[in-house]
Amino acid sequence: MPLGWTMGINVRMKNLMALLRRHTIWLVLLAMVVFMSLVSKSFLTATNLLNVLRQVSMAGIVSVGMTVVLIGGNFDLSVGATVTLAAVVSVYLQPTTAMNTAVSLIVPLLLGLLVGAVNGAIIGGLKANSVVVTVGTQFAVLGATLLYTGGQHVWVWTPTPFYEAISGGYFLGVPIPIFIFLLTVLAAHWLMTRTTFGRYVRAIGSNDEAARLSGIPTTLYRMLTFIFSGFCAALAGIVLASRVKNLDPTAGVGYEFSALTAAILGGTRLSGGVGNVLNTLAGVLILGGISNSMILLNMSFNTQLLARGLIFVGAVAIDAFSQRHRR
Amino acid sequence: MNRARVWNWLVKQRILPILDVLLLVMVTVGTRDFWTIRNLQNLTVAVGIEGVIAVGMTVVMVGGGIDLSVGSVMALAGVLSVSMQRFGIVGAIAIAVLAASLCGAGSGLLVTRLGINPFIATLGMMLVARGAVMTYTDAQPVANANLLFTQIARGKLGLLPIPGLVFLAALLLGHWFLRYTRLGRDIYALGGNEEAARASGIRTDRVKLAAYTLTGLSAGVAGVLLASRLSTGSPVIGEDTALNVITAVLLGGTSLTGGVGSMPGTLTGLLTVGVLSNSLNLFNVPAYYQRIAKGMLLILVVFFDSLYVRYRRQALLRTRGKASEERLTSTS
Repeated sequence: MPLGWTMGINVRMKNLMALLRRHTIWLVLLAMVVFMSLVSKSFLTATNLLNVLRQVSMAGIVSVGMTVVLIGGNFDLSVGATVTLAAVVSVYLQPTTAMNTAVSLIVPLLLGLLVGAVNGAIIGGLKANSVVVTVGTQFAVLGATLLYTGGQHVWVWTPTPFYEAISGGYFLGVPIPIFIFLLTVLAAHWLMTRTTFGRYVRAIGSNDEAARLSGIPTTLYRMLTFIFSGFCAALAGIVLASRVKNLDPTAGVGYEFSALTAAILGGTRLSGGVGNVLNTLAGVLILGGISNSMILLNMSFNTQLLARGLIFVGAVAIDAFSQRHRR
Repeated sequence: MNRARVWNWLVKQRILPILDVLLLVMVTVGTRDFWTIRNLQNLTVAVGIEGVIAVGMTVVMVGGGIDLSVGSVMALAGVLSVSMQRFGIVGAIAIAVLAASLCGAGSGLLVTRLGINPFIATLGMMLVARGAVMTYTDAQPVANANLLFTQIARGKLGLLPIPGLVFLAALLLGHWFLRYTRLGRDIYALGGNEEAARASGIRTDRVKLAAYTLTGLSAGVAGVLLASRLSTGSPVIGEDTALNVITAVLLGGTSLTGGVGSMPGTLTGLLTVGVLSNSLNLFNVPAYYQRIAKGMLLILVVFFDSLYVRYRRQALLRTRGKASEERLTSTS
């Protein structure tokens, strides 16, 4: 009886430890919040926290798509360019009437799907290296965006209230972009855990050859991950456009690095097959918290750039360490 | 059968022969400015500065790696070569090149010690080096006051601009290194099949580290040349250097999977990319179109590289039979 009881405790402890190991990132987040609220008085206020959340929602939406692509064993470095393209096109279409608003929501999303499909077709069809291909599409898309705007700013002065509300509105006192972000997270989490799509993508990411031999149409599903990522990037672009309204045609550059960092911080394996969208959410929040605290601590923009690079390398190194440890 | 052989040859050459003939006809017929000494000198300088990096990039790519950080490392070296002038010209250049080599070695350590995917490791180095140089200069360009330093890249030896001379020296040195030194042969072995290279006694980690350090060094030399040419250390240059260089190296027949490639090939790739952007400039094509063209060219080259890899695999299967298939799938 006592023996069984201790064993029960042991099993429960083991389960708890396993759970913690899988979700270490949430503990890190908790530690960061505690630390920051001790260091800076203005950190743990509702206004600041909501601000941080709203700030990260765009990069967060991109990270969700990136996580799915990473789980499928690929990288998508073109997302920053897609964000820019979607934002610029959305504003350029002048959402000043109901009709125009619909157009300036639909066209960017279609463009996002298109960029994703092109990436996916090249990478899926040819098994070409995803980093190099998406760097190529990144340049092509950015060039197209600059060409479209002639390198000038694009702006819209009086968008419809609906368009304005995409980033400026509140629901139950919480900014709408946060809802869009969380909905994307939940949708992707559902896709990756409860559907055939998710299982297939995981299978492809962990062993492409085995997945193909067991009858999964790998080319198609690889392509679908890129299409999903393109869609997420375009969605983020629309939120960005609605928030800024006066866009410089390079506005989305750099989102790919935040998205990659967040996904890796969340424990997504760079070699594919392993990853969890909810943990990416924690990664996004940590990144947001860090840049917020750097602002609160009055660091210069350039130092933040350096810090972000170091965080990226650190996250990658931790990923590599844990993988080696498992082996 | 014969047509298939011609096609395979073209794929192996990345259809460079066709592209080059088209380009040369275009620039010769379309504009009178191409075959002028002045333009050819400009072309030499432009090709030369990125060409020095391409030499290093060829080494690392033959070894099966890649370096995406060359652009920011080049910016870092350029800034250091100007801001460290108080140690004298030679001292400043030495510091700049040393710092760049250290960046390369850093990437190499990330790849070898931690086993990080080279794309991601060098992407990280790219962010860190860019952040470092932006912090160091506060995002402001550093002006050069030393006329002698400016003369390095603006000077000419006869008709040949010095950057072109440096590039030729680097190319010859690289060719000798890859072909005739033990380390160079080890790099080919490493890129061809890492497991086999390790099994036959090559210290693969050291070889990789050396390759990344060399690439960093080449980016450093290019950074010094560019800073001297501009007479400024700019922290924001080099955004598309990696793209240009990798495109040129791939065009020259080096494969993303490693194990194949040569310096003469890289030279043809460089000249093609150089003449292409030079002619786009001569035809007054807006910079945005050039960006699109460069992106598409990279994708096209990767496309041909994939075709080539597939073709090579089939050829191997034909000659060695089924037994080699397992080995191929286990390494690729």
